[in-house]
Amino acid sequence: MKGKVSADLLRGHTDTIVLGILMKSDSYGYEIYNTILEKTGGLYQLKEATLYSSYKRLEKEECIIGYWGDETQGGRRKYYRITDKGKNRYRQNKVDWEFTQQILNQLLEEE
Amino acid sequence: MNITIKKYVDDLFHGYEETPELRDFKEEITSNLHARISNLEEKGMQSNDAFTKAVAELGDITTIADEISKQKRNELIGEMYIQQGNKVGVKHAIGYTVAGSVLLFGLITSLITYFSTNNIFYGISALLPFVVPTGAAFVFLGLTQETARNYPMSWIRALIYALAVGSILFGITISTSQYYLDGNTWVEILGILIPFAIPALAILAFLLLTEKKRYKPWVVEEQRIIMEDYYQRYSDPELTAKRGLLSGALWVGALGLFGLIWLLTSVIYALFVIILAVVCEMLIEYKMHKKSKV
Repeated sequence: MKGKVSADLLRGHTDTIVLGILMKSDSYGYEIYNTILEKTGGLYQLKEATLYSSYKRLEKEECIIGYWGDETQGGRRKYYRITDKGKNRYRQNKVDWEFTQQILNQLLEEE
Repeated sequence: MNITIKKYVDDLFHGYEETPELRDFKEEITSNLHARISNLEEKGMQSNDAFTKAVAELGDITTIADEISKQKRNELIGEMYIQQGNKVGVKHAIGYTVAGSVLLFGLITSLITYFSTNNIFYGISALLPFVVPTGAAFVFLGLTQETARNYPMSWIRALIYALAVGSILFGITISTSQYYLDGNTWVEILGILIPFAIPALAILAFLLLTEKKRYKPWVVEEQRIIMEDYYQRYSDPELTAKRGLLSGALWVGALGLFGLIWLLTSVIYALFVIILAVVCEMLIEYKMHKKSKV
C-alpha cells in the first residue's frame, strides 16, 4: 500500500519545521516555503498563510526575530533569524517528537 | 506585474486599519509573491498563470490580518489612558531641531539684512532659501510623526505633501519679494504666484480627498462611543426638531440684535449679544440632555 502525506499531522509541526530551517541560516518567506517543498519532494503543499501565522506566532513568543533585507529589486524581503530561545524550543520539540514517535510506533505495532 | 501584485495585496486588505504592522505584513507578502511568480516564470510558466497559481497557494491570509488588527486594537484600548503622550523618535527629534535652527538662522539673517539695507526686498530674499525647505521639512516631519491619536503617514505620501507645501511657500515668498522689489502690480504678482500655487493646491486637494484615516483604534473606539451616545440622546425625532427650532430662533434673533446694537452704538456692545447667545445655546443643550435622561 502506498502512503500519502497527512497534512493535518504535519500542520501541527509547522513551527518546529520553520525553526528547523532557520537553524541552518536566516531565511525569508518564499525561501522557507521552497525549502519545505523541496525537502518533501513536492508532496507537502502547505498554504503560505499557514507559514505566515507561524512566523507571527514564533515572533510573538520571541523564538524568531524578523528584519528587513536591503534588496532593491522587487521590494525588500523580510528575513527571519532564530533566537536562543527558538533554538532551545526546536531541540525540545524534536526530542518530544522522537519520543512521541516511539510511543506511536509501539501503539501501532500490531495489526 | 509588480503593480498587479501590489494591487492584489492592497485589495486583499481593503478596509483594514492601516497600521504600521499591517503595512509591514503587506510588504512581506508582496515581496514573497513576487519572488514566487518570478520563479514560476523562470520555469516557463505564463505570467498570468504564475500569478493565479501563486495567489491560489497563498491561502486565507485575512485571518492573520484580523489578528494583527484585533491584537493592536486591544493593546491600544488597554493603553488608552496610560499612553497619551506623544512619542517623538530620535530621527524626528533631530529633524525638528535642525529645521527649527535653520528657520531661526534664516529669520535672524533676514532681519540683519533688512536692518542693514533698509530694504524689505533684501530681507525677504534672504529669508526665502530658509523658509521653503524648513516649511516643507516641518510638514514632512509632522505627517510622519506618530502621535497619541494618529499613526504616522507613509513617507512617500508625506513627501508629496511636503513638496506641494514647499512649492506654495516658494511661490508666496518669491511673489512677495517681487512686490516690494519695484512695485509690480497685483496682476503681475499673481502671475508669479499662480504657476507655483495652482498645481501644488491641486495636488494637495487630491491628497486630502484620498486621505485614509490614520486614527489609532482607541480614537476610533472613542468616536464610536460619542456617536452612540449622541444618537441615543437625540433618538426622539420630535425632541430633535424642537431643539433645532429653538437654536435657529436663538441665532437668528441674536444676529438681528447684534446688527441693531452695532448700528445704534458700537461693535463692542454688539459682541455681548453673541456671547449671550452662546450661553443660551449651552443652556438649551443642558435642558435637552436632562430631558432625554428621564
